[in-house]
Amino acid sequence: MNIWDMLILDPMINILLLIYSVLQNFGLSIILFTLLIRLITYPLTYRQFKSMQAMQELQNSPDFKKMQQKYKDDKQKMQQEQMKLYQEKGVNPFGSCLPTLIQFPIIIGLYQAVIRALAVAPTQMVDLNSHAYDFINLSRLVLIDKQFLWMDLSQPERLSIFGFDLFGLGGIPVLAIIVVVTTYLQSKLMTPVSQPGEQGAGMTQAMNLYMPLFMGYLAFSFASGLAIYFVTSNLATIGQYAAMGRLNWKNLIPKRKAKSS
Amino acid sequence: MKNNRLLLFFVLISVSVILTACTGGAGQASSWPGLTLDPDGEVAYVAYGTAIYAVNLESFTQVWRYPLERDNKINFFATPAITEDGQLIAGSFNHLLYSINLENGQGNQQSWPFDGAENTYVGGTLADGNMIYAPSSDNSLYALDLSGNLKWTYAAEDAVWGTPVTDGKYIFLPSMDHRMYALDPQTGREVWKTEPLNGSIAGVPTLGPGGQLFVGTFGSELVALDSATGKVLWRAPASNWVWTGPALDNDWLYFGDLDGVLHGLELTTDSYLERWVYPNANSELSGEPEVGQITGKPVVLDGVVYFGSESGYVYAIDAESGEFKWAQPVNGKIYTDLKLVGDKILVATMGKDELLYMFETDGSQFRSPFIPQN
Repeated sequence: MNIWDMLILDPMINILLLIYSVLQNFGLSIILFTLLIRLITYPLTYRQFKSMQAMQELQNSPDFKKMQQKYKDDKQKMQQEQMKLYQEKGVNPFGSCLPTLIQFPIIIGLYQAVIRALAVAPTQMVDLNSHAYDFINLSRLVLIDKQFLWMDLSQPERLSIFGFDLFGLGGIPVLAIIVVVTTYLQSKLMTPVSQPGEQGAGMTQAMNLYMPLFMGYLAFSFASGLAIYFVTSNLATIGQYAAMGRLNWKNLIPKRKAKSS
Repeated sequence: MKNNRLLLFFVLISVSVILTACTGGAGQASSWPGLTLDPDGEVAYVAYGTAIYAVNLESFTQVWRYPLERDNKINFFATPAITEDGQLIAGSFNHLLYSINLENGQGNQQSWPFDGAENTYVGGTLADGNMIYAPSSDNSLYALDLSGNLKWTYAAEDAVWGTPVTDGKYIFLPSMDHRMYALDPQTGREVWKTEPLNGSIAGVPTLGPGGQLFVGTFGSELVALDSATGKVLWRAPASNWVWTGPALDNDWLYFGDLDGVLHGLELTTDSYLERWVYPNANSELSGEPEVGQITGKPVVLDGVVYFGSESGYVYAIDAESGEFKWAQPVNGKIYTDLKLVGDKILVATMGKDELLYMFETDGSQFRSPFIPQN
């Protein structure tokens, strides 16, 4: 057995199956599993928030602005000085990236776990058998019901209303649209209010634009079980930040452009 | 800043690629080859992935393939059936049941393909007399005439992944709902159904000479039923799921389980005796190749049991003692039932290229493996 299966995939499959054995609803099992993941990774979320906050404070400090002004014509020197300042103030410039990066193996693992647990064909079924822990009574659970609301959790989601087919997509990709909206809301609400030209503002803007589209693409293309994870995860994250009182509602209000003199 | 955006773009694309590569896109299903022999044992029909191949068993060469042009919507997992009027009937994962002319590999038209199913075909089709019985993952068994006209439908309580069998009197239908059903072949009327048998039933049940019906279940046991009433006669425990029914040879039964254990049972008047299991205590010490999951039905010839496993080996075991005789590797996992072609053993694999192997009884290869031609 490889490390990935042992550390990520097998625990995910078995936790999903365990939850399913209680709820008997795979869609709800994915939702509960996602909330569990958010709970486990909460310390990381909190650290991400603290790191973003520290970075924001540092970048707004007079020392930082003075340094930027001083080395504005020497990018290399400015970067060296920035790193020095980060070290002096104990700020890790990558501290806010780590929780985001940790999401990727979870996404990949969860997608594999959903597809393998649903086992729509014999090869997947014998594979599932080899991944299930002994305490899971798999023979009582299979075949797992892959229907959740109007969705087949093993297939990309499309909602057909009176046969209406949006651009030949086979229906309306409701879940993908919800994923785009909630990812956008999440990134907007969590991002500290930034000033134009501020260090990192461009990157943040790019993330705020690309990430929802990318997540929407994944939700559109892959099994709807993954999209349910995205939506639940986004809403849970927004909830966590709201509980900390750190949502930046101002980011949702379009800024007026400063009049050029 | 440009570098950061590039990095971001790279990360996003990587995740997308990993998701696709590791899991086969949007949950692409896969299965092992379905293998059928013509009644004369001259041609094998292998349904695997996007095509069915007709293979001449003397020359081990391809006679035809269906369809001629690759169609990614078609995905054959179900074992095809041969009708007495020369059709090959094969269900696909795209919910369609195809009829193919055995002689030339052309798709028959008329009422074909049959599009009445609402889900995939995983279980093999049964052809008996002037009727075709096609089980679907939509829980139903579809009974058609040879022209593809629907005669009746019977709905089980869950998907049907197994292959129905008949004793000429009833159709015996295995289902993932943990039950076996006996149906009237002409009307589809339910004659009996069992109580839940502790687990789903896939694969092919085996009819015994004394009116028994032997069924492997996901409840990790082989169950013997009375085919007249559906009453459970006895249960033989295994160490893991039993995917399919046993091979029958005189009064002996041979079946494997997903723990990679082959069981040798001798039938008694009203029960059984487990005579041996393979691998045994000596197997590892003797350096015999490890056995992986066993899903296919073994074959028995001249006192030797032959079986394949997910480990990619074909094994020969003494039928009475369970002692190891030989094992030969193939290039791919073996999940499909083995077949006897005269005194040779035909093996379908999930190899990247090689699809069929033919072994002599001493373990030597009859010819080079069959590789499909596109």
